[in-house]
Amino acid sequence: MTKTYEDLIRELKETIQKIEDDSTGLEESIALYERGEELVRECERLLNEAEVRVTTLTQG
Amino acid sequence: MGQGEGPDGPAVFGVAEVTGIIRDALDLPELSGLWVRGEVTNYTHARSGHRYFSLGEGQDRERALINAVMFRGSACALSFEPADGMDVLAYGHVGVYGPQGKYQLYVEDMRMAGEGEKHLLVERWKRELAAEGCFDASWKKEIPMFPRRVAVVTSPTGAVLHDITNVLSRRYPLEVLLSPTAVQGETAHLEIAEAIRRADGLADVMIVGRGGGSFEDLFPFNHPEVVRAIAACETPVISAVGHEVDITLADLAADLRAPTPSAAAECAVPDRQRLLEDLGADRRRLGNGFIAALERRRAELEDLRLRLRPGRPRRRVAEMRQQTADLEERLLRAAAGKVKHERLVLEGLKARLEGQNPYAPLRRGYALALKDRMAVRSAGDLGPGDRLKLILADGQAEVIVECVHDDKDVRRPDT
Repeated sequence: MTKTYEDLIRELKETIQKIEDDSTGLEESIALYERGEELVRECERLLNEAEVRVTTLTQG
Repeated sequence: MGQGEGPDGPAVFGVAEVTGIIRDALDLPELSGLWVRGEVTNYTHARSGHRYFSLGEGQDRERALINAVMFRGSACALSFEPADGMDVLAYGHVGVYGPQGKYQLYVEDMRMAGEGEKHLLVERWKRELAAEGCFDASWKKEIPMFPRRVAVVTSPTGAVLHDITNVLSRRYPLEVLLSPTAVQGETAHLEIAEAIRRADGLADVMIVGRGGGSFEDLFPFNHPEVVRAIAACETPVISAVGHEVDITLADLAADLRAPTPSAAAECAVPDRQRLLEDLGADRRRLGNGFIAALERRRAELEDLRLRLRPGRPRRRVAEMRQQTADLEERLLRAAAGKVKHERLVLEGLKARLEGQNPYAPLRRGYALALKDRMAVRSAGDLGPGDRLKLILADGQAEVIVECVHDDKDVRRPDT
């Protein structure tokens, strides 16, 4: 199942906190930065590509 | 007038005194706030704005009548103009009007009997449902921040669904699950309750909505069936029934009440424009964090370098400037999302480093000659009889030099 916006935002916030942490190593910072960029793009994609779909529950 | 002696001795009362006794006698809890049903007679709408009339019931000897007055302060809230013959419910208290020697009903609220009964019914339901805990604030659920699916319980043909999808399209498009139901009519309350139960658990938030209408039109949303269905929902419910001024029991049971269906849609989802702005801020923070991380490493490296190579300050400053410029360039590229490019550069550097491996040329057919464990770089280092070790890509050989030709005077093509 694809991640929800909520999951992505939570991961993005964690990524930012980690990259801002002085004890994070350079290699990890690079990986975090790449991941963060990916998360931002994915969030933007979710927001921009979303469309309203109406499904109707059958009665009875 | 005070109490005095009658001609034959028994007590004689003044009129005011008797009136007082009667007033006290009528000061009963049952008469201090009650609904009375009756037919309006002798109705007068005085120029002062006060309404004078009687409420009657029965015929001939069964006939009962009570005088009533409704002062203009209360009368201005009337939703209809009373008239003789009308069947009404009047709320007020019974009191004595001394100057005219009569008791009367002081009316504060009056409704036509059919509708009035429904109001009374709603009030009774409200008490009962409150006792059941249907309106308890402690049971109210949070509306989720980022729902994936919104269930809408409403008429499939009304404007409500349209209004809601309109707002959602603009604000935060997502899946809408319509649980269709009639919203008015004799059995509407059963259908609405069923539609709520059917949608429960299938979405992250539910909107129960209906457009504006009369008290009668909104009546199903006061029905205990609907109220209990909302209160029992696992899914958080936002109600939007009628206009802002109409508050139904369904609204009281919902986790959140919105004044209109459009407002309910706004309450159900965040605004993506805001979210995109927030994302922009997050991206900047991420980039700044990364640049700060690179800067930290650069500073550390610089510190180490300076400690390794003291002296030559001028040259060092020039080198530092060059390095800083290089790093800036790299930072800009990296911050622009070109970390991958950096990786490629790093790979290239690694490959070049690999080229410095003294054993690498052996794979291309060269041999390394060692004399006393030192690489032989010049023919001048050798003399006949020297023992050498030849290192090849896949093994070694011990050799003895027979004779030496020094090429120093020979012109070679690559010099």
